[in-house]
Amino acid sequence: MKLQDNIIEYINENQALLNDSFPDFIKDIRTKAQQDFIKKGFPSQKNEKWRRTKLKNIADQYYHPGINMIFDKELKWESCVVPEYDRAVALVNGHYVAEKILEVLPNGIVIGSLQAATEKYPDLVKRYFNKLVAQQNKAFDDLNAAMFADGLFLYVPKNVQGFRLQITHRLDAKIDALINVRNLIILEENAQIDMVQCDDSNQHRSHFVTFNAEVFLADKAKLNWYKYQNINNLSAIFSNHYYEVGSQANLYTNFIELNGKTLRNEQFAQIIGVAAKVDLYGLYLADKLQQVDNVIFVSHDKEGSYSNQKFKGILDDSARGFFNGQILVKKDAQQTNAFQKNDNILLTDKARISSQPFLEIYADDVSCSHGSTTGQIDEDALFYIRQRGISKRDAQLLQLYAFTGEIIDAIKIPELIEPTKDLVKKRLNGKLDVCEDCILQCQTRT
Amino acid sequence: MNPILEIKNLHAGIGGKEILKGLNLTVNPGEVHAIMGPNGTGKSTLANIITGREGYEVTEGEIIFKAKDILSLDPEERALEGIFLGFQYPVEIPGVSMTNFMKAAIDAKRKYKGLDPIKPGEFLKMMREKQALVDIPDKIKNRSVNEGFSGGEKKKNEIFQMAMLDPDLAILDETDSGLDIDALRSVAEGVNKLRSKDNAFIVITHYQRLLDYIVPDIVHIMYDGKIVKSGDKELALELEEKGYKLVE
Ligand SMILES: Nc1ncnc2c1ncn2[C@@H]1O[C@H](COP(=O)(O)OP(=O)(O)OP(=O)(O)O)[C@@H](O)[C@H]1O
Ligand SMILES: [Mg+2]
Repeated sequence: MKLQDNIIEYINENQALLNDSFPDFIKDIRTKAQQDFIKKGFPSQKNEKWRRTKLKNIADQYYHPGINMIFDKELKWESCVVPEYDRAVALVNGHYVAEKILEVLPNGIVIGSLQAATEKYPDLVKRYFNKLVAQQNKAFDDLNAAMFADGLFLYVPKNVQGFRLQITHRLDAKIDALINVRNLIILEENAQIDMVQCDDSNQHRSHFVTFNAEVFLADKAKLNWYKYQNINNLSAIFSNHYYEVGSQANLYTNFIELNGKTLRNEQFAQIIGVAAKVDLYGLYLADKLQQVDNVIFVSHDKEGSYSNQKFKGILDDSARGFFNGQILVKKDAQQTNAFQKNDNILLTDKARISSQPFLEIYADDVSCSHGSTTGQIDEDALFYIRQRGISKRDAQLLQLYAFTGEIIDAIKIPELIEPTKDLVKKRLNGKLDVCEDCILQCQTRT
Repeated sequence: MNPILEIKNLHAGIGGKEILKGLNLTVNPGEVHAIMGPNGTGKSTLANIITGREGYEVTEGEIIFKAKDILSLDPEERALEGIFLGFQYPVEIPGVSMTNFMKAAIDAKRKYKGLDPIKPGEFLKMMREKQALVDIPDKIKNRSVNEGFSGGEKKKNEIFQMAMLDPDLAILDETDSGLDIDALRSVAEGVNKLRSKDNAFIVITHYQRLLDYIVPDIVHIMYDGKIVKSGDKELALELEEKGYKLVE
């Protein structure tokens, strides 16, 4: 538990640096999180949700705990011109980097650094910050709250629609480092945005990242969130996403997990309104000794909502995957439609997946289903394809690529489809470079 | 003139069980051979072994295709050399469209010959021409390979693929089973249009009826892993009349 001890030591010795840049309401949350982390530390392997995840290879390693707290002025966001997006911003080593640290757009959208927002809009931030995290308090939430320096703040006012945001989340420390990123996203009634996020790494260094996002969708709000994770083989990102979903709101996420030592995405969606729609898609591709985890929880609190979880994965070599998906239908959530599906292909007999679907239903008038499959490449199809002159490797790729189609076809931004196909093909082909320009296909990098 | 295919004393099996027990067969360019034989006698096994399907053990004998011993070649290499199998049970491949599948197959063949990938316009034209040949609906182009195809559509699709790939040797394994009379006629017409003095066909069937449409040069009766009797097309009629006691 080398890392845990290092962090605790750092917390004890750097109280001023850690806490002084925040207003009191954050400081209170933060110092409590620091105490809790010191008390509880990393999750135990006995915890059902962590039993299948190799935490040891992270916990035993040294990551500098303080990089995150020091804003390196040299970290310039390489400005990136993408015509289809209204704004391009970056999170570099946990700091918001853009031309302006915090700005109000003509349509009223507020976008910028969370740290800056806590000072400029304390009341707004206070109303939402930590509300969802405090209810759940998942593993690494304490660490994230105890240590984060910054992250994205986004506020979309009522009825503002059609905003498309590009977020490059970059790991760029020159030494092995712990990075904690905290994000707060608020959509008021009938607001609608698209977010396209790339997690990528610039240096060939080990990063251990906790990425937390709290997302509030007021009634009729709509969020589409695409995420592409392609980081180096030394780095790990644990992302916890919390969503509060109001009446008739739509939440859609599609996460493509391409590369990294350990990628873990937890998504917790609580539908507090009626007639909401939640679609969560995920595709994970792992090989070598990589680990990919998806831990999903959708809670239906009120009647008449729809949710759908669809996750697919291909595991090669000795890769490991963990899928834990839960649907909770509370007593009042009549006329709920909730679905969940997890499909996996294992390419070797050393690759492993643990797929755990759960349904917990307390209402009687509901339609729910869940299912999980794990298979190998279909040998009959392989022979059929090869018999037409297509090489074994291409025949496999054709089938694997076809398997991913269901997730890629669910992408709703037309400009994203071809680049996504390209990334997935390259990844399946073993030709995806971690330093590849991300999906956003920057035309200029200055 | 060299034979296209020459099989000599072939012994082969699966999981230690011998299925082919000394089979001999010679097919010359321009010929159509029919193979008939009771269920479980090894007809599909023979087709699989000629095309290189993994999992079988060849314990004795040789298979010479266009003067080359092909037993050590991979299935795709044999296909590229010019062997095509129309499957008894065509496989469904979800998510792979017919168009992409055929494009990949055509390009693999072109690459093997040192040619660049086919141009999209040329490819589409070729698809249209060959579709007309076997009379399959246009809509299958965008559907996944064999997925949701009716039994007859699957079989026609095999002939369509054969027409696209233009093999030197086509083995059609019960392509007539499950076809209605019109479909049977259009499949047979497709085959007849593709016949030339340079290529050859092996047609595996249970029914003499198909041979009214695709007239074979030679009919073989296979029994217990061997070809036990060969003759002209009259042999099929005789078999139809007398059944397999003809060879028992
Ligand atoms: N994978 C396998 N494992 C074990 N036995 C097999 C396998 N495949 C085929 N066989 C056996 O080999 C024998 C020949 O089968 P094959 O499919 O070649 O027959 P066939 O002549 O094509 O029959 P049909 O007319 O019914 O299509 C049968 O006894 C069959 O059960
Ligand atoms: Mg058969």
